[in-house]
Amino acid sequence: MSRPAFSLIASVLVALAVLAPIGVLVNLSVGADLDLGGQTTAIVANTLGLTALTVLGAVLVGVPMALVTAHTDLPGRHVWLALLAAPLAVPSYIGAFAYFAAFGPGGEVETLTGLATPPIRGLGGAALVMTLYTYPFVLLTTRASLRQLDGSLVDAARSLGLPLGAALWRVVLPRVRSGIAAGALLVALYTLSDFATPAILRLDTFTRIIYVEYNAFGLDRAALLSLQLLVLVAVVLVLESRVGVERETPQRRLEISLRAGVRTGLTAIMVLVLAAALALPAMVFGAWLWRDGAGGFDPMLVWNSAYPALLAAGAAVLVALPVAQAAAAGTAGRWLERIATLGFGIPGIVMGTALVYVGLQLDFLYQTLTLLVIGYVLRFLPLAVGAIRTSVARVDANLIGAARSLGAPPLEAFRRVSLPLILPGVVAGGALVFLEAMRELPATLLLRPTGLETLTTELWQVYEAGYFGRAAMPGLLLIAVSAVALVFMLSGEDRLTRRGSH
Amino acid sequence: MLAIRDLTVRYRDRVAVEHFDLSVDAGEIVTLVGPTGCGKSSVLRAVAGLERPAAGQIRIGELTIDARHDVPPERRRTGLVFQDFALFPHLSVARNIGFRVSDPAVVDHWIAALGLESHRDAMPATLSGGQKQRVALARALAHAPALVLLDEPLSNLDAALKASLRWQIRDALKAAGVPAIWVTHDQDEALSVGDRVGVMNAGRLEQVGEPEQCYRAPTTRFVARFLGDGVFLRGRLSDGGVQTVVDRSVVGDVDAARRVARSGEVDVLVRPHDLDLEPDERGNARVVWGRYEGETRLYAIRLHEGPELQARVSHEVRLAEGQTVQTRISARHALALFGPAEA
Repeated sequence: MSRPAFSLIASVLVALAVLAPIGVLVNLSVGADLDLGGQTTAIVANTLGLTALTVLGAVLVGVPMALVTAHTDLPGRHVWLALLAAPLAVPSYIGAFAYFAAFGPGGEVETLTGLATPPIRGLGGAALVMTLYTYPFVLLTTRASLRQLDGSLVDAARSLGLPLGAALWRVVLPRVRSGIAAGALLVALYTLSDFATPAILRLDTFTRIIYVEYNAFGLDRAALLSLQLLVLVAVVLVLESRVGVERETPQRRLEISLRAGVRTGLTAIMVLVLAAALALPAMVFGAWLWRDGAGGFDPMLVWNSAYPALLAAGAAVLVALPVAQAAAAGTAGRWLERIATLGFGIPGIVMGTALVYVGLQLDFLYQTLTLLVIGYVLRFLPLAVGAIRTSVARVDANLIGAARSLGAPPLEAFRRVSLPLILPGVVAGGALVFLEAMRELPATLLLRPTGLETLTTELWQVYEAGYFGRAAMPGLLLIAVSAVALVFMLSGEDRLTRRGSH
Repeated sequence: MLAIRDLTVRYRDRVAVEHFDLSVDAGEIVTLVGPTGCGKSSVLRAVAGLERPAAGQIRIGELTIDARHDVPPERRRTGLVFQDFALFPHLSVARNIGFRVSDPAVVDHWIAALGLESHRDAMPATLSGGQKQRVALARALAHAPALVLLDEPLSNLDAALKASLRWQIRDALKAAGVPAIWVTHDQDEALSVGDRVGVMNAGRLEQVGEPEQCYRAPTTRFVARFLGDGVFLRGRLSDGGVQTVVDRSVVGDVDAARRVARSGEVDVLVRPHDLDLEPDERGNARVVWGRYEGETRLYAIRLHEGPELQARVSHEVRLAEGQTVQTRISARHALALFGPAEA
């Protein structure tokens, strides 16, 4: 009976730790020079413009694909779904870097084929690249609501005289609106937070200018901009909490059979999207490897990426355990969980800015691995909490009661009943944090100890220096890590359900 | 074996159990029955040590527990059988049953005793509800409990299974010679498996006694209504005993009637099988409706001078709606009497 109390206290501490960066930013920005020379308007316009265009693009790509993968007789729907969801696992800097290097005068496309292409930069370019890596959010949430739809509704509409297209528009679309909205808000959140795409494609959004200010020793102005960005994030989070997802039990699944022509057209579009999001970056980095070889690659980079990520995974799991336990236990815990998982909404560059300042105030943390690991934990804690919470929820209080009344003291009951049931979630949570931390760029850029180069920071240095050829190995390795993450994400759900049914 | 005295269980501001007294003798099965939320499960949880009593005393064998002296669940030797079975999902049937049993022969014995041989290596999720229930019972008994506590053991099972499993569980408990408290909300179950029945309502024990006694001689109207169908019929206390409007037969005990009567009136509990019906043109009642129940038929009849009653008779007595019948009280035992309700 004392464990929930312990987990509550621990959750309060974690929640405070997550809120701390915001307090730090407020403190830091007090007295900052508000005058950015009229730049603020441009930054807000760019940020909102990029977000709006990306959301629009993601909805236009994601919704039709959700329909195709959920309700048509397209062969290999599940393979298509896995492939179409894959761009979600690719870090945006991989895509942005590839597009930056591939197009425009002197780009890889021109070098290889002699075709002149316009450069992909600025608002349009950034929106295009962001769309390619965020549409899976809309695809997945929309598909989830579509799967709950009763197919008889469409049949009813058609028997009342509506053609299929009109039936989908008038009957299906309004019912999956909240699913689309949920996906669109995730896209907005991701776009607001993303650092690499606008930075590489040279669009002055909040995240890019925060980094510029940070480098210009304008930490107070970086903090002020961070707070302004957080306001936008908060708006999205509030909207997100208001999107209710209604559940219905489908009587009969909707199944649309496609005509041969339509099928070919849809397949062509899906191939095009996958080529743009996955094949093109892989080919650009592959071309560099083929041309420049792997000679200049320092294998230590892999360890430098993996080591802090491992520490972060371990720490995140330890912190997530009491939070998940408290969340499973009651209302107070659920609120604390919400606060503790806010870190996901705090953009990496903002988290980095706040913790850099913490490092400047607390000498023993300045430029240490510890600070980097803290940054990772605060950002990716929600992944660990989510995974562990699912498994904690499986540990019914009655199971512990049963173990106790069979004569097992509390510790033995925990070791023999709770732990084996929680362990899969703990491993999954740790792995998710590890994979995310390995691929993290902005916070790593700001917080890494001097001299520590990871795969992601190496990629960034190469971009800034312009020696693109040296990006080959880090880029391809990060793509490989992303592939592992994807396989892991896709199998995660299966594994849980399989365990549940045996 | 078990003695509960003046037990009170509180959840935050809600009182779940109040002034609860019950004792269970060696080898005895006591069923606790009552509507949902009456506190019967809280009694079990307090005895098992999953809930701390706010007041009162629980004695299990040599152990004494009260609000100040707690004994952790693992030292109470109570075998708890949960409504949702609470089988460890990551352990096989044999490992569940042998959770803390060192002697494999004991595990084998209980696997055989409950007919689980072909499932010994199965995981709980693959078992049917009835199998899970048997595993849960085997697990409790294999740990040699001083007392078994069953929390609605049959409520998650389908009707066909309930009837047979009821007796299997009872036989297993009796064979093991372990006393048990068996909580249920099903009156039939409570009356048929319990050596004694305790009827609970709103956190209090209304009556405890042998099943027949509780059914035939309920001490409160709640117990009367909860354990079976029946109506309260106004009766008059006269020289020899109590008479009702139904017929001249004397029902109920004079002494009992004197205790509860007000201005010569009492309420008599008449259950459907206390009545007999016979077709009779000059009878005292008319048939309102009839229902065929297989072995029996249930009729609603309206007395010419009185209320509507229900009578359960042999299926051979076929009556038409509207038919006039002669009704009489056929019960050979004294009917339960209550002080007259305010009209």
